[in-house]
Order: sequence, then structure tokens, then C-alpha cells
Amino acid sequence: MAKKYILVVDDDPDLVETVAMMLESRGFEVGRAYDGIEGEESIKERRPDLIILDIMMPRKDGYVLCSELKANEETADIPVVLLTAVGEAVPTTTYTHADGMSTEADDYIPKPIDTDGLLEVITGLL
Amino acid sequence: MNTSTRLGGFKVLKDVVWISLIHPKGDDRFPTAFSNLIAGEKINLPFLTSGDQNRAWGLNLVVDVPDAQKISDLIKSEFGDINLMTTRAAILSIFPHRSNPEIIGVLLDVLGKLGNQPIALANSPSAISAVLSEDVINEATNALFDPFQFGPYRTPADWKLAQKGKEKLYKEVVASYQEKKPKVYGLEWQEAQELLHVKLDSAHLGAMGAAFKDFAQLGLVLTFLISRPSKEKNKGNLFFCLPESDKHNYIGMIQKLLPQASTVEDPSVASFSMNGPHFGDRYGIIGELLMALDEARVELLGLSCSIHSITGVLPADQIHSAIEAIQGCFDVPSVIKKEV
Repeated sequence: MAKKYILVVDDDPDLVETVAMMLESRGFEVGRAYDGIEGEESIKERRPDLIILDIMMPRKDGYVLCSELKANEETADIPVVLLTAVGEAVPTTTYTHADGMSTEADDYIPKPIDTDGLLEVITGLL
Repeated sequence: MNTSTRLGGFKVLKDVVWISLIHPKGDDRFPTAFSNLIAGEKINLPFLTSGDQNRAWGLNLVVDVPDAQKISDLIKSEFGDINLMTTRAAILSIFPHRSNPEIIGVLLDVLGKLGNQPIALANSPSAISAVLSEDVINEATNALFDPFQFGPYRTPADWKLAQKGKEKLYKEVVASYQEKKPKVYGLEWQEAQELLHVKLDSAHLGAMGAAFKDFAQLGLVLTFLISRPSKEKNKGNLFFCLPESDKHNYIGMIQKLLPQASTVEDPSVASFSMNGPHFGDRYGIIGELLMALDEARVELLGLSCSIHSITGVLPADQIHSAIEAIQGCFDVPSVIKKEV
């Protein structure tokens, strides 16, 4: 059976690598993109089975990309999991969980990422 | 390499100043004292390497231009007579390297051919960062497109167009983090490694690239890399980790390519790497980590702080004390042991 292909989009390359290694060790194939526009181009190049998307990114943030994907009939059915840095870690941000869910993301995972929690969410969506 | 290697991307941080200093007095707590001094002034460090050589600590650091004079003055007033150098610089970071020594080998080769040797080097779990003189950064980034392919950017012009706005967001985000107990996104550690220290002419860094390519041919993984400043003019020091091995003669491989280089091997070391929101540059994070390690009597052999991670190397028998100390002062959801 072909491996499921997951695209990880975050402007922190170290976090992308941490998540990618975690998923690759669990048998997934992982694509990497480092901002919203790169994520968009990567999705056009190869359709992922699931997207893990950071919110605060330059050029195009995760909310906007998620909304665009869900508004496009060709990509609307790709599950999107938003990564959120919440609570005291980001006191100046206006981003919240509720915003994430209102962009029609399929689920969200708070940072720091709990490996078991992420795998549970992914398994539930694939 | 016959064909170009595909990477995810690269980034450049401009308008910064590189500062190097060597503290010759055998003070094991020097990196901690220095980091806390900087944290007290709320100065971010986008790049830091620290290497021990016979108990004399050598540091490379990079700060924003407005902070450079302040730091130089602080260092002189706090630590007295210290060997200090500064220059206008930029940081070039390419990613992901996936621990493949070929990537640093090719980068050193490219920069060597241009005659633009890096002033300082470090790797994070994803990226290799090279500090370059500000006046050569454009030439260096253009040259990357020969040996490397970058998914979304086919030409240097594509890349430049994509950079608009990134710097502003980056600075806003760094300034926004003020947790009481910093959250770590990932803490990984590895054992069964050797720490190699190569002292060489700075002009020979390009040739050292060939040694890294040889390591890649053997399928080895590179888990740690830093440069340390040297007191001697036109000399440099590289510290890096490769897997412990009875099969491979690392020193012999290096000496075959660089007969004049002096190489020392420290067997049985371990490394850890912690990734968190802007851990590579936020003030206070590195100071907190070093204080915790000092209290646990962990003897750090080398340290890097770049991108969003802090990586350290230490004697293998101290890794569990180090992990425990990190868990005591940071919010760590999981600890992953990586197999080399």
C-alpha cells in the first residue's frame, strides 16, 4: 500500500524537521514547505493526503491558505490540521483556537506538539 | 556532486554584526555569565556558537547592528582584557540538511571557490547557518543556485521577490514571546558519537568540504557542527560530531585531504537539541539553559544556537543529567532518543 503523503507547512524549519521526522518514523511520506505561498505551490505540485499548517507565517498565513483550500473544490476535501501557539506563549497575537476552527480547518494541534495527540488527529482524519 | 541537490529553501538575515571573543582564563562558567549578561540587556542573539578548547572558551555571536557597540562595551567592562573582533555580517541558512554531511561539504566548496570563507558556522536540526561578511552575501546566495535546487525558487530573482515582509514578521514574532517557563517544541538526544575538533587555515575550509563529502559517501550522519574563533590570525576551528566507529578512521580521512590540519578526537560524547519558539535568538533562553546545566554539573563541550534551536555536546555519561536539568527549567512535553 502506498504511503500516505502529509505536507507540513511552517516558517520554522527546525519545527518542520521535528514534525517530519516524527511522521516519517511512523511510516508517512512527508513534504516540507516554509511559508503559505510555498505550501500552496507544493499542493499544486503534488496533492497531499493531509496538510499540517502553521498559522503565523510570512507572505500568506495559515488561516488564509486554509480558507482558500476549503473554497476550492479541487482541494476542499484535503484534511487540514492547524498548528497553534496558544496562551501565554503568544501574548500579542490575535490568533485563537476559535479563529482556527472558523476557517474550516478539520482540527488543530497546540504547540508544543504532543506526538500521540498529533498521530491520533491524523489517524482520525485519514 | 554531478547533479544539483534539491533543498527546501534558504534564508538570509542582514544588518547584523558578528562578534567573536576568546576568554582565555579557564573559567568554566564563562558562557553562562556571558549569556546572562546579554539577557539582562534584553539583546537577542540570532546566532551563537561556543566551543571549549583546553578550558578556554571561544564564542561567535551575531547581533543586530544597534546592539553591537553596547555588547562590545559590556564585554570589556565585565570581562576585562579579552580578544574581541567585530565585523558587519549576514547569516545565510540553508535547509533541510537532514544530517547529511554532503550539504555542508557542498556549501563549503561553493564558498571556497568564491573565496568567501564563512566567518562562523553552525547547524540546527534542519539548517546549516554560515555567517558571511556583509559585502559578499549577494554573491554567495547567487552561487547557491549552481549546486542546489530550491523547490519554490528557480532563480535568485525568485528568491528575492519572496523575501518581502519576512523580516518584519520575524522581528514582531520574536518580540512577542515572554513565557514564565519557556515551552520546548521538541527535545531530542543522541549518544554513541565522537566529537572531532579540526584546527585549520581559514583558507582551507573549502578543502574541508571534500572531507564532509567523503563522510557522506560512507553514509554517516552529521549531528553537530560549529566553528570556534582562533587566537591565531587566519586560523579557524571546526567542531563536529560523527557516529562512534571502530571501522572508520576519521582523523586519517581528514589528514589525507588536509595534511596541515590538526585534528583531535573526543570519543563517547552525546548531543541534545531543543527546538522552541525562536530558541535560536530570543534573549534569556540560552542563559537559562546554561544555568541549569551548570547547576547539574554538566560539562558542555560545545554549543550552538541558530534558527529555532539550541544544540549541545557533552560527555556521554552526563546526558541524562542534562536532560533532567532541561526538564526542570523548560516545559518539555516529550523527550525523543534518536538512533544514530
